[in-house]
Amino acid sequence: MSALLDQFVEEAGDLLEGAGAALLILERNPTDERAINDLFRSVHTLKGTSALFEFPALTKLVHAGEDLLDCVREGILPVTGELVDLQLEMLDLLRNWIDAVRANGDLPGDAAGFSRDLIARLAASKAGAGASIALLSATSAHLPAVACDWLGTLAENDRVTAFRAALEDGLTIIGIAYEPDKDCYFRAEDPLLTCRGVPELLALSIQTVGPDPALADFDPYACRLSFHALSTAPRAELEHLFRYVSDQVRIDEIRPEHLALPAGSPKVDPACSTFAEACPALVEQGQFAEVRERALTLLASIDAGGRSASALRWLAALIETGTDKADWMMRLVSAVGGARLDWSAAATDLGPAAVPTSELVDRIVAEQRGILALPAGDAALFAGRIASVGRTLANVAAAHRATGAVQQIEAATASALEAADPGPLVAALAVYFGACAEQSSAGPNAGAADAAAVKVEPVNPRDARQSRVLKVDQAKVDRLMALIGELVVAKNALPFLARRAEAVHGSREMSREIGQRYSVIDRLAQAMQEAIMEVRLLPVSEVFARFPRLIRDISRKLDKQIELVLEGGETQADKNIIELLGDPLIHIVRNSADHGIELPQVRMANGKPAHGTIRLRAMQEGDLVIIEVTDDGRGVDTARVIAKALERGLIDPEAAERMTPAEAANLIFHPGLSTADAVSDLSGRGVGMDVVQTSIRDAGGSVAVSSQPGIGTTVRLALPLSMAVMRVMTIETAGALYGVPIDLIAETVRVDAGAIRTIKQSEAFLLRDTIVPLVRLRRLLRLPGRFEDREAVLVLRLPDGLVGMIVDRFDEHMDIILKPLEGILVGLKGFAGTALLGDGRVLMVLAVKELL
Amino acid sequence: MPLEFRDDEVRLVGTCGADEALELSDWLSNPGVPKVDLAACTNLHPALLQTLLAFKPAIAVEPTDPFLVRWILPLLAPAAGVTRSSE
Repeated sequence: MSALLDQFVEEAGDLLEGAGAALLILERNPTDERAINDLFRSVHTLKGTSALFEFPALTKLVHAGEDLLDCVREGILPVTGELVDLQLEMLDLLRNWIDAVRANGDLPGDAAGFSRDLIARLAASKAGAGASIALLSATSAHLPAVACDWLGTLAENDRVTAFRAALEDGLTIIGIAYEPDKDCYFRAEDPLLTCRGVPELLALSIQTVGPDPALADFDPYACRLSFHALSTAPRAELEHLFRYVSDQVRIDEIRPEHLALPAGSPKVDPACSTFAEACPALVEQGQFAEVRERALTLLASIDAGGRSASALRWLAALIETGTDKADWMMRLVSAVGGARLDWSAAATDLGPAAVPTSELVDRIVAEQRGILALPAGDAALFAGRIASVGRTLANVAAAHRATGAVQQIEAATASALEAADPGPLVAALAVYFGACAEQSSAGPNAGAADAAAVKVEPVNPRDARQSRVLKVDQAKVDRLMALIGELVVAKNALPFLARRAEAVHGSREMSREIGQRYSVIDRLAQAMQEAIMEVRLLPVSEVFARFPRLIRDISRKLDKQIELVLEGGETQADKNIIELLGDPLIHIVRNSADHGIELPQVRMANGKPAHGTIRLRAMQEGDLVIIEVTDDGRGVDTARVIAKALERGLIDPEAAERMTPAEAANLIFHPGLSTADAVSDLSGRGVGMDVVQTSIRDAGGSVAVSSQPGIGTTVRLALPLSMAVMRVMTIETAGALYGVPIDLIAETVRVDAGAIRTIKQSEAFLLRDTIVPLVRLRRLLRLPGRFEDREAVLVLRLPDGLVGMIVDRFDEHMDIILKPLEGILVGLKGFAGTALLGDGRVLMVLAVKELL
Repeated sequence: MPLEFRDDEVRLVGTCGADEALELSDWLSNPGVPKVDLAACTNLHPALLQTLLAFKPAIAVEPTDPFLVRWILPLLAPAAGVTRSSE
């Protein structure tokens, strides 16, 4: 991957994140100018930079997204839930693609299809706002499909099969028009093989394009075939099949009636004319069977190659599907009589001028009504609005081939502009779109008014000041840190050297000088270490950023109203810690949303506000970063937790009786305990909180829960600010040095051999009225045993309580940079890693829990 | 070999790819009444198909591959019909 592409991937990730956050702000507060501008700028920048690379699917998609956002920014389009959904979907898709680019240097194979689909929907959404001319025609997926002109090339029998599949089995017919370009054979494409792969293939026609060349000039390698096919397979599957040639193929939904294309010699038999005159009455009376009988009789007596015969066959086929589409039958009947059949002219039958309604038209028209109802305000703005509304309505009319309406609307727009009064256009709208549901204008109307209230200053994206931030690959920072770590170690060798200078070479002066140099280097090394730690610091907001979306999705899914409050996002911690926080926090927040926050009606019944609150709070306490997740839900049902724990044999009844509510609440961290009534989609599979605890503990942190029934639950995570430097106490045993993480050590004591009691094979001693079990490190490490009069005991605080560990000798405290075990040592149990000491010795750091 | 030439007849065997198209069109350009045997053809590259469509040789033996029978033979069928009626 080129450096440029690298940079693009990094930048795109940030832009998408920014856009996502802005979008969620916008959803809560549609008038937030800053959010609109941030969102627009992010998407705009992404579009710009993506154009540097060969990712047409991505660039086109972002472009469509930007178009839509532009309407929002201009106040033409209100921020609706659907709009946010659509944009979020786009951001998700883009994020996946960027991940794919990061991994493979290219978009996934199916990108083009997804892109096209989403672009159509974005465009449709935009057309709903009524701003663009060209895009309306691009929304074929939502408008009644226009008849594809190639359908006639398919064999009639095949079309009938597809027609029946659509009407009898309710299948969706997908049309594929695949016109490979001339050079496709040179790219090793085999269009016929691709067509062979079309699932549920119902019809296929292969045509030679262009005039037949003289055989002498025939070039077998210039593709001159075009392929058209029908299938009932899911559209996505077909898009996937044709993903590599998406620029040469069009995949469209086909309306079944468009398949009924009577073809053949136009000569009309007199018997057919009689049929065409007699049958409409029968159709009107619903005597379809009779019509079919007559059609079949007539069919037997006329030229089967004629157009009339074809129409009769279609008529019979239509009636045989058991449909009641009298309108279609009428058309076919008149086609038998020689009338031209044009399905796309369907609209004109419904009335002389009015444009037919559909959900989309309804929505578009309602929007336009809303815009026209806005106060006039600034003259230039007003004129822009009128022109835009006029254009939109004309487009809608044109899309439905209501030519008269188009002209009238254009005229009305002109006079509205002239008079600076929306009156004429409002009137035209009433005439041609009168059938569109009035009531639906209320909602979008209000939305439009809202949107109009936002006076958005046009933003020049170039205004975004370039911050002086350097983007550096994390690996480089890690390497720098490792080097500094080694420098610290190397520096620690100097005091040894100083001692040697004096002891071996007898030069006290030399020793002192080395000592002085050492203190300078020491100071610098420490400063460097702090500086590099700072580079690795990230704000907690990096983790918090994903929660607004999560909460939004969860609350939609569960029908709960949840407000998320984020506090202390600026608190910083080491990158590793921040990254490690993500999954546990998601677990906790999901649990809160799923089990904690009650349904709105339950909350109301309990005298709480309908919407629950989940609060994420980060803060720094000493060298710990604390994250609290608080909800105001029902709290942990300690009685049920205890009951469950008893039922599963996790605790014994005596322990259950002694348990304080706080202890009981913390049982939820026990593996295999879930308090959910039903296993829901979100959490409550019985694995969850114990995973949280394990991963937090592995990072040297702790987690605790406190809860008050009916009031809420707080989960508190405490993690070290940085994992890079570890504080250990060194101990000596059998001549070797070992390190024990200092946060595990409760205290160090010396115990008289006589005070050690042996219970069966286990040893223990009494520490201030508590029996503390004893282990011997020598025994744990399979080293020869040694007994002394006064044993040095390290009292460790472990999850199951205190444990005393007998070692040979305590040594000093030390800050070390822990290196994980490498190579063949990886599998070694009982050791967390190693660290190099100043004198070149290796310190093995014990993983005490594993050892016991 | 996907193409097997015999006097005035060519047999297309197995997967016939684009590489064979030039050979086929050269052969079909020869004077005479060429005939084609598609019985053992399992995949016909469009480069070959358009060559057959352009030179319109008689189909001596129809294909057996269902896809070719269903969708491709009708395109070549007029020729096949002639052959059959002359037999």
